[in-house]
Amino acid sequence: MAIKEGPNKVPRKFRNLGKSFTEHLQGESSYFFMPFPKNLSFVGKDKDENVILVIRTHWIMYIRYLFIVLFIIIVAALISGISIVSENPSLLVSMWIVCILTCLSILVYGFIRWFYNVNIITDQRVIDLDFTSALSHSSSEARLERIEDVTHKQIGVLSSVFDIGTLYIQTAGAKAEIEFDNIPKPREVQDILYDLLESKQKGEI
Amino acid sequence: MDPYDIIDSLTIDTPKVDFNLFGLLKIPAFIILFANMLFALMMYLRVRILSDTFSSPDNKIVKTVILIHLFVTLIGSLISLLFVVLS
Repeated sequence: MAIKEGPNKVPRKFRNLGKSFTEHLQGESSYFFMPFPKNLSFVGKDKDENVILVIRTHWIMYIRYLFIVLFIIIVAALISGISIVSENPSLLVSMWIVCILTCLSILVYGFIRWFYNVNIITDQRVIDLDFTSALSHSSSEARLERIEDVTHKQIGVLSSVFDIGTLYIQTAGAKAEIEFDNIPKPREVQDILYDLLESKQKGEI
Repeated sequence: MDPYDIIDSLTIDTPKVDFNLFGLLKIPAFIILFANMLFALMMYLRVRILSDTFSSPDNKIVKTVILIHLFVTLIGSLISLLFVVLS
């Protein structure tokens, strides 16, 4: 199959491998599934290391933040209806400012969580960066040669509708497995990883 | 003794229970405003660390968003505090 020329053109190094994974890396690039991103770096990236794919959690998993915001606005509107609040303009204005600031914080938190919950696949390793809360984040990585098994699970209605799932990467040793949570196209990502592992074992990359 | 005097003596010193609902509503407002400011500051500091860990061309947008959020939260909280105190 001919490789399409596009913004995320597959580098010659990977095209020459003749593996099926290159087919998954063609087509439209989005913030959720970004093949061969340019000007992207991370701590510990080697000079000759190529970033193959950057994946983020599917946007549907962040829709709950909009529901929380909607709930807060409804509660605030109900409180404004109470006579003791509505009769005091200063208290009413202050309550709405508190409500707007809280909603803004929730939306910004959702955006930052989406942006920094990032999974990176390079030709050397896989990296899982998790923004767990405003007070903590975690980063796990595994070199390709240490990966023993890759499994994906698609459970629930949302996974069927939006083709999202969780990828489990089991590494050698007692270290906990790496999880790519609720990513789009988990089967394709699994195939990409298997092809990369095979190429790595053969010493092609 | 006049019965009215007896009733007066019973009622005059009765302590009045003054339940201030305004004050009760101000407390959660103070707590939420303080929590919002702290949260915005913590988010800003966390993003500063994460932008070094993972750098992409869009990091500038994220930094701008978080800085605007911090600024709006601080200004908004101060205005809200003023209104709470005035109410």
